[in-house]
Amino acid sequence: MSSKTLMITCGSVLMLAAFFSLLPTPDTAKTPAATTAPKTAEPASFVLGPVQLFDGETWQGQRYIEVQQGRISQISENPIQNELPKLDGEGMALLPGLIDAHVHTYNDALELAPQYGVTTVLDMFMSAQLMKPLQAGRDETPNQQRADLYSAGTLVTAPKGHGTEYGMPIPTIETPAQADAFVAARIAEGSDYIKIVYESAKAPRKMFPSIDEATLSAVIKAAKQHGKLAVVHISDQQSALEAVRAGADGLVHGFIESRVQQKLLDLMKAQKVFIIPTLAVHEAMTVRQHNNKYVLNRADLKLSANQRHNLKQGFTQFNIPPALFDNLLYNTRVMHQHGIRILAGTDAPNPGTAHGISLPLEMLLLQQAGLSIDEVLKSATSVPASSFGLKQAGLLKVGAKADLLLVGDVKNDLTALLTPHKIWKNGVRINPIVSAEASKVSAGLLADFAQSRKTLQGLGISASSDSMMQGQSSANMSWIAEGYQGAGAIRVDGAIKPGFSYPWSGLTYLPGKSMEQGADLSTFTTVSFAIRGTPGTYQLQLFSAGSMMPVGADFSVSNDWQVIKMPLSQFAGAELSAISMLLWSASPHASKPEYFLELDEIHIN
Amino acid sequence: MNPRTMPTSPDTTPTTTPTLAVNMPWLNWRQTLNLLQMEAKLDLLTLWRTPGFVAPSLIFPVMFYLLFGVFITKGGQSDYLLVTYCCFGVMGPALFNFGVNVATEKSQGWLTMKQIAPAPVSAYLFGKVVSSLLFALVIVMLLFVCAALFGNVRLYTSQWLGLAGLVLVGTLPFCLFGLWLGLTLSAKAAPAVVNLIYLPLAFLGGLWLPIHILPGFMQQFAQLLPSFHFGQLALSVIGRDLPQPWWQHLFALLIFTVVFGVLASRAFRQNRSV
Repeated sequence: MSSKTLMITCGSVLMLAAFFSLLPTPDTAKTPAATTAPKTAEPASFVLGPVQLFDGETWQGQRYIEVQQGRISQISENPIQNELPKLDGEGMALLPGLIDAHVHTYNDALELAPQYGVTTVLDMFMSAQLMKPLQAGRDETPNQQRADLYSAGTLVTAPKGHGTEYGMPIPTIETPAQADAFVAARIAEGSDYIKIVYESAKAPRKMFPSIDEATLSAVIKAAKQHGKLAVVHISDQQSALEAVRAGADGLVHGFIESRVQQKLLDLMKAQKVFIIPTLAVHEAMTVRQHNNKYVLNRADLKLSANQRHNLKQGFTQFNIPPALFDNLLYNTRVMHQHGIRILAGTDAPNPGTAHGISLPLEMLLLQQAGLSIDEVLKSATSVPASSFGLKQAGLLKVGAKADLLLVGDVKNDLTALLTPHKIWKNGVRINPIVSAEASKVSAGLLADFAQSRKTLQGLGISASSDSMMQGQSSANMSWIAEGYQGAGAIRVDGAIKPGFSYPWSGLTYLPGKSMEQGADLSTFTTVSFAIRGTPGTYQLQLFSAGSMMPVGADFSVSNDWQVIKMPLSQFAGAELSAISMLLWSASPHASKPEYFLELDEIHIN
Repeated sequence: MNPRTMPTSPDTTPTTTPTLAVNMPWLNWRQTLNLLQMEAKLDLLTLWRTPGFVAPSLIFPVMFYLLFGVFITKGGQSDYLLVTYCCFGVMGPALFNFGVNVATEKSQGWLTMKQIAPAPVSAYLFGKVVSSLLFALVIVMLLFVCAALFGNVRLYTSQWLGLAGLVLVGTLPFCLFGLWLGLTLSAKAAPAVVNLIYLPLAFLGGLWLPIHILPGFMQQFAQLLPSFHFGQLALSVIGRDLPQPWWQHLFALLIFTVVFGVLASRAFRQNRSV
């Protein structure tokens, strides 16, 4: 064989190898459906009653309902006599499983939701790859112990626009000419509706680049041509007006910077545009009292460390005057009075919200805005179902899925939703998620690195940077023999560079026995450590279990060893009962990107 | 190449008539390799210069897959239909390159020429197998790209590779089927007859629509078709085959291979004796 033939052969083989290695493979991230198979499920066929039935639209009075194979097979005023197991409704209120009309799905979102009766979620932006397997099963009645998912998948935004800042690379759009292909690609990925991020060129404050008005119109038109709803993310009245003018079917946020004008009200009414005001997340940006009042200060509510952590957060960096929240309450009330459909949606898991529990909290805010209890209940059941064309959720009638929420006297007091009695998804009881205990940590030394990089307690220490989120920073860890007052320390050499929205580079220490449960640091008051390195300001960040939003505090480093003592009270908002990770990070505002740090003698007391 | 897998004529005397065996004492291995390479190249060139073959065999599977597998079903069955349209796609070059082209070359006297030439006929057939496989590979790759881009199909690399490999190897019974048809049919009749066999074979074997949505009697009938077993064996790579053991499909395909092999070799002898 000539060498030319050999080269051609080798080249072909290499090209084939490249071709096959480039073909897409399934995302290996766990599909939550598989992880939580219930051990003891009550039968998916039973008779429940007597209950006070709210069918999604009106109170029906006392009823008995029969469920067969996960669907409602009979609703009767009289006791139903048959061989099926009888469950006593104790005269409580029975509602359709709730619909959260604005969430973002990742991690265990779909498992957390039904813990508070949210059996269907409308996602407004998630990884399109993860979406498809999670959409499965919503037209049937599998025993899945999770909420049904409807999703916008990838949102429609401009290059570097809102939605691109999370480190997940997504396609973007620039011109009206791209609209049709862009929408078609979303639909091919499995998007149930199209979500567009829009900010008017005349908006009072601009946060991100946005698509222009012509592109907005073209995308909405394309969505309609494909038979999909077009819903728009806005954050001010001018953008809302332009979005409605462009033909949006719904707005997925309210706005707080101004009071709604008659022009917008008339237009929304005429074009039958609905709105998801997302009061809870706006309350967490402004007033920040609601979660404390109804949830965090109540000892009888069992919340996971992660829920506590999330509900304590707020968008403090925006410095929005708290009084502006009144505008949103006003806008919601006036829109409702004008007959504009209001949908309950939380925007979970954004700061100040958590999957599941935030929907009752949102509903309480809708009541505060001026909706009656019945209207609030509709806003989380039949109204989102009809607005988004969901045929499998939001109404309790014969043939509907047995997504049921049994609660106390919700007819007179919405707070009953915070302590649901029983929940069924597809006719199967939802089991409470028992969160594992956080690891115990003993007072004193956590790590001294005397012999090696091994720590005395916890899972260990490692280098970490935003390069794992496609950022530009870097970090490399090594053990050095010469530490603080003698033997051994850990050294990191790195660089912190812009690229990712939240740049970081430094050392991470995991104090617990697992990342998921974290370690209980709530009995301690101070964390201390010896450190030296490139002089400057650095940050220690505490991560709560299950959360990616740290709470940080600054400290200074010099060329000489010094012991830094930081009171844990400095980390307000961190859930100390379950700390998953400590991060010593360089500051993105450092004068030059390159730095080194040497860390030794980590104590907790 | 194992000579026994090719149709052989047991009644030949090696010295007077060239046999189908590749082990030719008058050629060393380098010359044999050159010969095989040349035959493959020539047949490929012939195919390439026949747009009537290239275009439909490349475009039809891709077009049908995009239409049925992606757009009409909105991608709901895009992985299942990818597998079946791969099977459908690779059957095309096998049946047509052997069926129609052998019939044509037979009528032009090219086959007789090959039979009396000192080079073995097996090299000619080898060339056809190689060119059919290359076309099949291109079709499979085109379908994979479409599935990944438009059908949102995600498979493990082992599954992508396994599917491609299985589908290519699985063309063998259809090559032999095509050869038998080509040797028995006239050049005029061949294109029509091959189409008449190819398309129903694909549809009734569950390669166009999933077999389980066809009526019960058609599902029963499919058991008699090689295309059904081919499709099911390929579907087992992604775990979407019917609840029937995979070795039954393999066994059925082996039987079809033997039957078509015997038929083709008989037709071959008859052709030469004419």
